[in-house]
Amino acid sequence: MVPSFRRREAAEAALLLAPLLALLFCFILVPALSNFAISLTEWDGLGAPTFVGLKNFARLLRDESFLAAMGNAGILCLYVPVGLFAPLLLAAILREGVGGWRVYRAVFYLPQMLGITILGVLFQILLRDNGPVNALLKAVGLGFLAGRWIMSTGLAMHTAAFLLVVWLKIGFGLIFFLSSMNGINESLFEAARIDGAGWWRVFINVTLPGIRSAIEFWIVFLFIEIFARTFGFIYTLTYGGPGYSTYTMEFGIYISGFKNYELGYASSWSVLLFFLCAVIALAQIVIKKRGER
Amino acid sequence: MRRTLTLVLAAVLTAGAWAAGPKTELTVWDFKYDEAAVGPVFKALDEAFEKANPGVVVNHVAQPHDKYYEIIRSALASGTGPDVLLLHADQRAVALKDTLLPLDKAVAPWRSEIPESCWAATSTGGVVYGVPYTNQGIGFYYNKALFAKAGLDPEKAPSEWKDLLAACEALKKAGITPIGAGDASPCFTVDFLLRALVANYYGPAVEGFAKEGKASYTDPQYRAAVALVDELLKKGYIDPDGGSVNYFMDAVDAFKAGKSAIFVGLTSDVAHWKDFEDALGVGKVGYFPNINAPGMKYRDRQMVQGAGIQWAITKDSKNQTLALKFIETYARGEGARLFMEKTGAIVPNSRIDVSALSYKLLPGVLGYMAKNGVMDYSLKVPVTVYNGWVKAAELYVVAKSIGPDEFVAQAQKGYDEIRK
Repeated sequence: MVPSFRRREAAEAALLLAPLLALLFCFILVPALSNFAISLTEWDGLGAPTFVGLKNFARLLRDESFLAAMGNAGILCLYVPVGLFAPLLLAAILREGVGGWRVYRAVFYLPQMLGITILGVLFQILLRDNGPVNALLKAVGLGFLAGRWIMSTGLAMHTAAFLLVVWLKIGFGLIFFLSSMNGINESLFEAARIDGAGWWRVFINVTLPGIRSAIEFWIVFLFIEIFARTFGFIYTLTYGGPGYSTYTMEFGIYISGFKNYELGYASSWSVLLFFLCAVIALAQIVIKKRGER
Repeated sequence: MRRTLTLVLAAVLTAGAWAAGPKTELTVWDFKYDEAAVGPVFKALDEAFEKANPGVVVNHVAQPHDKYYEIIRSALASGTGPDVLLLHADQRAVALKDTLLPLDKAVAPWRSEIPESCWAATSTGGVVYGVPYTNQGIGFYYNKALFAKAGLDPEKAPSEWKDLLAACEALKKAGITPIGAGDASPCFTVDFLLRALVANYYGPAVEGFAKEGKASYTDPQYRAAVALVDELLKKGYIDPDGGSVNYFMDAVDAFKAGKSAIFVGLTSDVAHWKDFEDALGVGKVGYFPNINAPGMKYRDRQMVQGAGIQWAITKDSKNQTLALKFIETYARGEGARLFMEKTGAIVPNSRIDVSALSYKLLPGVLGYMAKNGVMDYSLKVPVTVYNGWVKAAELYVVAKSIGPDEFVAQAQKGYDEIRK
């Protein structure tokens, strides 16, 4: 009786999962595997591909734009600590019940409500050499702070990284950490205060351990954003320039595939991005498991 | 009663459909259909075509310009492309040649109406894949009122390099931006300026640019053209804020609004003679095809592309004969004349009577294009190399992080790399 019930349950589960599995197979697995095959070819998207072995990968290692994209990924990663602690600290401050905190919360969340493309276009106008930001700085006597925010090779990636990893994420992070902090038992805060702990000690010893899993999620989220969700912003803010100074892996894939019509070469970029993301995901899983022990 | 009414209605509808006959749909894709000046002309031509071909419906689709070739390639790869395509006459079109219908035999009866130099621009390996629809070029327009304001003779266009420098200096001293610029990526003003200057350095020899796997960015002649651009940039004659300005259409609009005195513009499609005379007044704009500097082998060469845009038919089209008739409606006779008159495009069909058009600039522009034309060197390099050139230009013009020597070296390196 029981095995027959289990068999029927398994069959029903398979039936219910089948449409989703079919979609995953068609639109995720097949394209991903095809990508590996295409990366070994020269193909412009029309006609038959030509097998070239590892030629595309050898070219990648010499390609200035690829090396720049790797360097830029490093710069984006440098901003992860700021992208983590800025919303954490703000959430901890607002949790104390600062007057008008609902207004602050709404203001910080505002960037999240605008599309990434809109923000890219907006900042592309605001941050030009002759744009409103520099004009305002000069008008209030702070001309020495005016910079070539998105038009110098040295500064452009840092501007993009700060906006992408810190400013754009701060609102969502704030709400996320606030809700996580609400899950901490209030008596822990009271006990710490009775023991004479100051704000900072409470933050380090009570708040942070209390939301550990939320912090781990946030770090994973920021890395995913850095490697797989920068395209729209970079496309509209700098188009990867000047030169290759704000090139990212995603942007390189787009240019190679859809502007240079080198789909084989674009696939080799994708393969490396795939492995890079896999390594990061694996490292995070290992760290998380060690923490659980 | 209800049943009778239903039967009558069904009979009427069936009879109507039978009377109308089966409709043939011709699908046309282009990137200009939603332009204010072009759309009404194309609509009128579509209607004329439908009227002349009863039973044919033109499904004319305006595709977005910035994603046009991505859309086309996806559609052609999946066999869902249109019958007729409007294409640029550059490497993007060359890359599509295997999906396009060879047209040599089809256009043979009227081929002589369009100059062979234009057919060459829409041919690959000697096979015609498109019908030239505009004859594009690059030249220098100037605002006569601003020249007069700076104490310059508005009727005398700068011809020699020293004349241009003197004019720019006078304009700058008068508080006028000498050369308007739109150099936000992909640095079109500097790009167009170089394309023009290269025509004077190379002349017909530009055909050899990038031949046998060698681009010539590091040639002394190309380097000399870059040196001229460098002088204009360093002296602040090219708008120093140009790196923040998009050429299309911010810089173009700024020139039309009288905010700069000289503009490196186009001869057809947009940013052209009609555009500028409509904005600044007929007779208030001057034109010169090039600037003559010491060391140049040729003088007053007019950079041309042979064709700016072209009409093509897809190999998969089920209506190829009809598609060819459609293209003829656009590129010959009244259709071509109407397009030129209303949009300012320069149609290469030599049978078009332009004498009725009252624009002072037009005869001069047409004269230079007919007699002094030199092909655009940048059409000789693959699209990947051009995109690499743009990246080097951004560093040189926008970021100012490299000088002219590194600029040409990087452009060459990008080309050498893809040959490996």
